[in-house]
Amino acid sequence: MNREMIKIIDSSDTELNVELISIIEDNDKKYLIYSKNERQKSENLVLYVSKLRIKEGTYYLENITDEQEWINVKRLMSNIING
Amino acid sequence: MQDYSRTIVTYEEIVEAIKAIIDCSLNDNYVDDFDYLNVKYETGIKEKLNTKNEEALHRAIKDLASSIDTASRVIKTNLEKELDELDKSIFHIHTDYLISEELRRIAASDVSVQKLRDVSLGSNILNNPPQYEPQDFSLENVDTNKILSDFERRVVINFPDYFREELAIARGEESDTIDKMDDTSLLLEDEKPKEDNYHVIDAQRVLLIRKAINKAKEKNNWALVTQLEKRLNKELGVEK
Repeated sequence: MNREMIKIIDSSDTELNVELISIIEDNDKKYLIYSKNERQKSENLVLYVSKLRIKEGTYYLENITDEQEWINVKRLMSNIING
Repeated sequence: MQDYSRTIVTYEEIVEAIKAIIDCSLNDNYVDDFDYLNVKYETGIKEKLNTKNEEALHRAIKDLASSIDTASRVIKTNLEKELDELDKSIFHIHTDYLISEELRRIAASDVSVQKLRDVSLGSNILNNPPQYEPQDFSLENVDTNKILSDFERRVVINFPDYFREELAIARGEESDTIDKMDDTSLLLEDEKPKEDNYHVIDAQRVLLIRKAINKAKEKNNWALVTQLEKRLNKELGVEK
């Protein structure tokens, strides 16, 4: 299985290589799902989900702060998984 | 007449057996009252056995009692051993079930991650972003530094299963910051009360004990059946 690595940079300019799991779309909004290859003790892979935002031709990652939006994203993921 | 066709397993049955044997071995004309290992006869009414016969009978009874006592100890030891083995067997069944559930859950979780990969729009879009987002959620007036400072939301793909809570507690693993991607969290944003899960665990244990009872019945091991039924009643909270 090919693992696709991408680089993300936080506000303090710290670079972090993460594994791209998926980019999904919901109502014209795009979400990036990635992994830092962290697993819980129960072996569940911890996934990180961020909203992809664009400004002047550059992508930014934004936290999903709206609870309803977060529910919608999880529902979308759930539908994909159960589909 | 005592029925000797089945295994003697209780103390009371052993005593009854001795009494029955002695009843049969003595002549009814001589015996009115009998207390095992301490032969007593009513005097003046019935003729006693002569001393020689009485001693021989007494010795025979003692030998018989000793033999039965030894036999009962062996039976008791074997029963305890069998019960212990059954306990271990139940433990193994339980453990095997837990392990298989864990493997199933991990496999399902990996499959789910793969499904997310399969539907990905692809990393190419990251290299070719449009100039601007649609108007309704533009970043025109947004501080991108603030966005970057906190852009992660964690989620794990999890599946409700009977032992999830038990396993998590056993591992000391509890997290309030990671959302679980199961139906429960989707509906309620909260986990089920733990009592519900424990109830299911109890139900599973009860099921195993019932299976063990059926197995013991198949083997005609009634002592074991009794022990297991007591245990079942204890699990069910039935006082008997």
